[in-house]
Amino acid sequence: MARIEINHLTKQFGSLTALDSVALQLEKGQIVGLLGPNGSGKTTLLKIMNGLLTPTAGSVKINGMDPGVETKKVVAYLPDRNALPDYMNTKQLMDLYEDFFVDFNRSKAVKMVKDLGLDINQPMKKMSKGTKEKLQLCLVMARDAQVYLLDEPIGGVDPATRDYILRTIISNYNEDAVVIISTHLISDIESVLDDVVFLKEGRVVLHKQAEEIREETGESVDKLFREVFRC
Amino acid sequence: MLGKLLKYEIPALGRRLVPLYIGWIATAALLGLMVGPLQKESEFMIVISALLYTAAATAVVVMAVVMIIQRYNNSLLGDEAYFNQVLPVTASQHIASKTISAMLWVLLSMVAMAVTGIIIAMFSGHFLDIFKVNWLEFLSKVDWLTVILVLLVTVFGITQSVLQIYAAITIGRQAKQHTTLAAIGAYIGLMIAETFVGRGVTEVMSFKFYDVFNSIAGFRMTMLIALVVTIAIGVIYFFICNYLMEKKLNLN
Amino acid sequence: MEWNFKNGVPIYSQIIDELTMRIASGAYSPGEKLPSVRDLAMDAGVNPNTMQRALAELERRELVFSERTSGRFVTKEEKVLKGLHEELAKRYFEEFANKLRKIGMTGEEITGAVKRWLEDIQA
Repeated sequence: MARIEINHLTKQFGSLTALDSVALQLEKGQIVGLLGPNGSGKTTLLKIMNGLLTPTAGSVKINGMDPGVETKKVVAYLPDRNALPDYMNTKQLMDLYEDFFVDFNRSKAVKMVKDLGLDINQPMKKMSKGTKEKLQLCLVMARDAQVYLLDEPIGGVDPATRDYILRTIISNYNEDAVVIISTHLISDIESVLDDVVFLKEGRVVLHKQAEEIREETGESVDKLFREVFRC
Repeated sequence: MLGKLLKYEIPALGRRLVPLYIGWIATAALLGLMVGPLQKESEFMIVISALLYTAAATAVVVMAVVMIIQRYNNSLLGDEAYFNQVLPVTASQHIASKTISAMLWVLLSMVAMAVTGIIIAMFSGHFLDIFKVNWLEFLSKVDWLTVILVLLVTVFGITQSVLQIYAAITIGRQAKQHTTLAAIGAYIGLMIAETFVGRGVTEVMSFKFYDVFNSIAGFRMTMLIALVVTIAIGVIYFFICNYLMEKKLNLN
Repeated sequence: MEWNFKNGVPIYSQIIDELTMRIASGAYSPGEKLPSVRDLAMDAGVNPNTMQRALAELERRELVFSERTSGRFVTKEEKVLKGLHEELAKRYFEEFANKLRKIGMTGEEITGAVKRWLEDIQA
């Protein structure tokens, strides 16, 4: 059984079709790039996998189950916005994660927070936007989850932090987990990916191994992306 | 999991309400001093302190209502839902934790009001009057069954009103846009439906128990029916919230 | 040590080249224990599965060997290392001779030029 199975998944917002009969199977032990320009349906897909949106048609199965309490135990999600209660400080947020997620690895979180130079007693509302993003990522990656769904994890951060994030994703890699990274900044992450999925106007237009793309086309994934999505 | 939710939910409201309670009690002390020992100083000050006390009371009520709405709307349907709704917790546990915490803070606000009353009495120098009353005699005369029924109707009535607001917000969120407007519309709709149901029940009952209505037994019966109806309607609201959150959640 | 990857070439083969070079140059000396797959992948900023595949290929070429519990080691076999040097030398010579042939030099001219160049840098 694939870790994630998506069948005929369609999501409509009124007359707008955000996802159009998406089918995907993702195995464990992989780092997958969910690539597409803004508005291609990346965030919508991740939200459905987290149970934050109800599909119009089709299904998402994680470990064979619809998104729900059981899947939420094993899915670590980095949303595209700050979602944490901002009156709490880092230490309190770690307590919060520890209370609700059995797989939260506190020592890992402490190490990451220290590496990134965050102040453990600073309330979140006093942090800069970038710092909030880093903290949120630390908490998500500190879980020993089976599925990581990261929506634009490298969007707004500086190059040094971006490198740290990518190294964190690599070091966190394990054979039992699948990591899905949604982004439009491909050249930064392509060397980290096993598989790439191109999403265009709500449809999967390509699902292939990154190495296969390089081998067959003699091009980088980034270059192929630019060709597929040429305006 | 409900316990863990409450562990975070209760302090989240307290963070805003406890400081207001303290302010309220301070204005009560001031009012007590002005009507008591300092009465002769200035009538103007009595008016000012009475206004302050009223303002503090209003602030508590407004803040409680705003926080109860906000804690539900923002953390389960707004930006914070992107964290809360991915916790391994069921929709019913979420809704229950919000309701219980709202209930608790409504009760605590009532306790705070009682405390301000005592404080006014204390500071005005009339505190000792309390002991002049023959409490034992008074307490023995109280019709406890009726009092408890009235209290239960009040408590469950408030809980039901909170759930009614939650249901209206959740229904409003189903709209594609103008969710606030839709929520207000839903609220008015629920109010109308509730009035109809309430009137229907009352009419049936008054028809059947017409002659007992003016006795104490009749009053108790009315309260009991009101209690059952209130709880039943509250449960319906709970299920509306739960159904929409579990099956129709669409965060924007 | 820096890792630099070219666009459009499978990362797997670039890793093999880089590690082969490190072994040939002695950056990883014979018998030395290699870092773990995860550490190598982190250092290079590449997917751990890709690194794993590259190491498996190096194992197949007998440049490295693994011991079940303690990890991967650079080969100690003189023969293999000598073979590696010869193979790399052959590859470089080929590249270099092809370029010189392209500008019209004959075999003799090339040998002469190499001799003179070696004498020059020794002087």
